[in-house]
Amino acid sequence: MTVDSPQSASAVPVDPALARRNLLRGGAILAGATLAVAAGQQTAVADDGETFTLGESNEAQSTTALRVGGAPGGSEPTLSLTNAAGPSLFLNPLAASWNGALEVGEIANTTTGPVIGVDDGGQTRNTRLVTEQSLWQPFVVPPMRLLDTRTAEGRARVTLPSPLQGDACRRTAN
Amino acid sequence: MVGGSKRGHLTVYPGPDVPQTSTINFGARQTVANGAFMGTSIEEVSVVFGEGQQPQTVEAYVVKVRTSATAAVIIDATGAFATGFVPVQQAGSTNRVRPGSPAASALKNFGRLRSR
Repeated sequence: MTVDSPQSASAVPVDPALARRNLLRGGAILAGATLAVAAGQQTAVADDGETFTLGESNEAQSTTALRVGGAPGGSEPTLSLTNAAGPSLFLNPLAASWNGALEVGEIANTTTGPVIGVDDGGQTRNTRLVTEQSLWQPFVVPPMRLLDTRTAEGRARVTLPSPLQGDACRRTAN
Repeated sequence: MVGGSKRGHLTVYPGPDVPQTSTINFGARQTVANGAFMGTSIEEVSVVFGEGQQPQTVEAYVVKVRTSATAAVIIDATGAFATGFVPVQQAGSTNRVRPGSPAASALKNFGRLRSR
């Protein structure tokens, strides 16, 4: 009975020329890795068309401060964030009572919803971005009888009746 | 409006002052109806929640009713406006009041009325 054992690298016949090329290639990869480590220690400054790196210092030379995809002046979004399984953007929530001065167009988030700076007749003001938390919404309900003064039960729902108390026919009075 | 003693008008209003416009006009012994969007005020009122219980002072949504002539009054509510959080998965059902929602709470207290 024999058992196959994995061949060691030294057991495989190697062309001396190929081994030299592999050695050179490995050296090139190693040199690249060293360069990458050295580059990571420097401040990242992305030129136009290069990758924008979050968490690093980036600089664009054109008038567009930041463009990720799309042509200048096109309809494509300036910045697109994608998360297939969760939120795509996090805005640090400030205290609900925060009332710092915002410039027109600036947005600050609070624990009760985002606030934006707007031009209100020449004055810059903060106003809330509408959310379901702050938006008045119509609610349609099945008709509900609130008051019927024809019956004693109905009149009992009046919490502060008129001093005149209505007449003998159980009608309200002015 | 049911069975007004004479022709007149009825005004439903949130208070405190009676507005100069009527919500509905009626003739003597007429039964007439109208619909209106009506604001509410919030006031402290004394409410007895059950037979034999002591009255409690609570804050409630209040509407006031004033008639210019003696008459019976019937008021029905068919909807409300309210702020409140609607979960994303229920956003398609905003036309219904969910139990425990601010709108449901508003409607629960909506039935307390004041006449003048």
